[in-house]
Amino acid sequence: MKKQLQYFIRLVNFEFERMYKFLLGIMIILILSNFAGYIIGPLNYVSKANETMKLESLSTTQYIETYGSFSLETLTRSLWILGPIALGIIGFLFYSIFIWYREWLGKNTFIYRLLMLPTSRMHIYFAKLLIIFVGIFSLLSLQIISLWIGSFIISSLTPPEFFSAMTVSEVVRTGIIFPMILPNTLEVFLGIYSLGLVAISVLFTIILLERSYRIKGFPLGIFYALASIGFIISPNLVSLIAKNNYILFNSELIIIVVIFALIVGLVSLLISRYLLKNKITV
Amino acid sequence: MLEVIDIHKNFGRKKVLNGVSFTADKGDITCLIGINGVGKTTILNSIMNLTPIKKGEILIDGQPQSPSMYNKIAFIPDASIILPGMTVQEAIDFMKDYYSVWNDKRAKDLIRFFRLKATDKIQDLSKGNQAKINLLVGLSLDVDYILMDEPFSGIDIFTREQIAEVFSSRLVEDRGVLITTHEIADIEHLIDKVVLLDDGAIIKEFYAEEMRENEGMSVVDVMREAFNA
Repeated sequence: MKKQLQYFIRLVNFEFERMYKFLLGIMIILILSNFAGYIIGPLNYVSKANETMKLESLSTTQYIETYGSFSLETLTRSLWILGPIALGIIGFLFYSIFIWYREWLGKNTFIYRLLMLPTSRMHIYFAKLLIIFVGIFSLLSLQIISLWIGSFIISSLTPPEFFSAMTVSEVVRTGIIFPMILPNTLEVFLGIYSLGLVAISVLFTIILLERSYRIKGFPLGIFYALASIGFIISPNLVSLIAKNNYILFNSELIIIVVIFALIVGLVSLLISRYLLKNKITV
Repeated sequence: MLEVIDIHKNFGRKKVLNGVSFTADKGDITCLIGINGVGKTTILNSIMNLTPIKKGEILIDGQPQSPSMYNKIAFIPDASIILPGMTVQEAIDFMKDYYSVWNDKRAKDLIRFFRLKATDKIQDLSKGNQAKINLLVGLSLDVDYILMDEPFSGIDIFTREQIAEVFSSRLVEDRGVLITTHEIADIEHLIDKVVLLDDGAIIKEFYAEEMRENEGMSVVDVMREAFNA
């Protein structure tokens, strides 16, 4: 058991070493983009404010009443912040596909070596799954740290009369995308990231179906994905079909959806385990 | 003993293996021979559980396939299977991390024998040297059985001689070796048992020495007769 755990940790470490260049690349883009935003954002706002006040003969107070003040939250709605986040999401989605296919289609066929390791093949699966989440959370942590540093830069570059001070935690609660990627209650946080985990496990199942049955496996995988989505959202559909949205309370509906998603996650794990053990082809 | 019992395998509608059964014993060099596409590589992949079989059974010392068998049986495929960005030393370290049967002293001896450098990057090596890395990694495992798929394919005569030397050395002594090759002449004198395949089935199985003594035929002669070449 201890030995198996050591093998798993080594595999995770090995996957991390293979991912770090990709992660570092996205992190550098995030930092550069964010910091460019922290500098350009306030300067643009002040210059635009001065121009508008001049043109419309507005006082500072009138300008703020009409156009609003500048805060860290204003900046989080810009491409400087949203761009790297979108890039991270798309990047990790592609990485989830790449993490498997590179073993077969890379310069050398490393899948031979991986499948011949004297350990459960599910360790390879879990190492790949875990490393994607390590990457996502690393990026998320960096974004929070960046916002914290950004709040100081923005406050120093924005004239006090135009600046509306907000803490990072307020920004995270009120922005457009942050309440989704960093929910402020543990239940919602676990719910959202469990759904993410299930989504990646379904994606892994599609890939493993394709790698096991090749061309025939792809439509099978797509069918599985659609069936999984249908199953997860079915409690909502029941309410709609029955034309009675009050059959279930919203809180009950969410719990059922989460349970259904966990069932899909479990089924995906079992299918993947079966495929890796019995059907996978080098 | 390595037992392959009545295995069947299809690729789509094409039957690749059609009831193949044979055994490979410890201490013997067993050679699977046949023209291209008869299913030699598929048999090796099936033994290593790298491709599923439709029907049949594969036993290693009486036990069915499981992850622990990879500490008992090594496979040296006809493809480079180490990450190209790794150095020879990193490849060795990777193997050492996972295999309890890894023999580090032998790995060092093989680096010297194959005239490789631990600092060489896999991607910078020639095809012949990459084949040597595959051999190094496979032969440094203290396993009971070694499977080799076309170890002489696409490499120069000097490397071929070095690899052939491996077969007569202590490196494979007492181990069961199952090999597929087209270059039968290079190792004919070392082979114990021959399994001749055609169309996914065994057409002849014999001991090379007995064939030479009783029928006066070499392995190549038997092949020629079987394939009317």
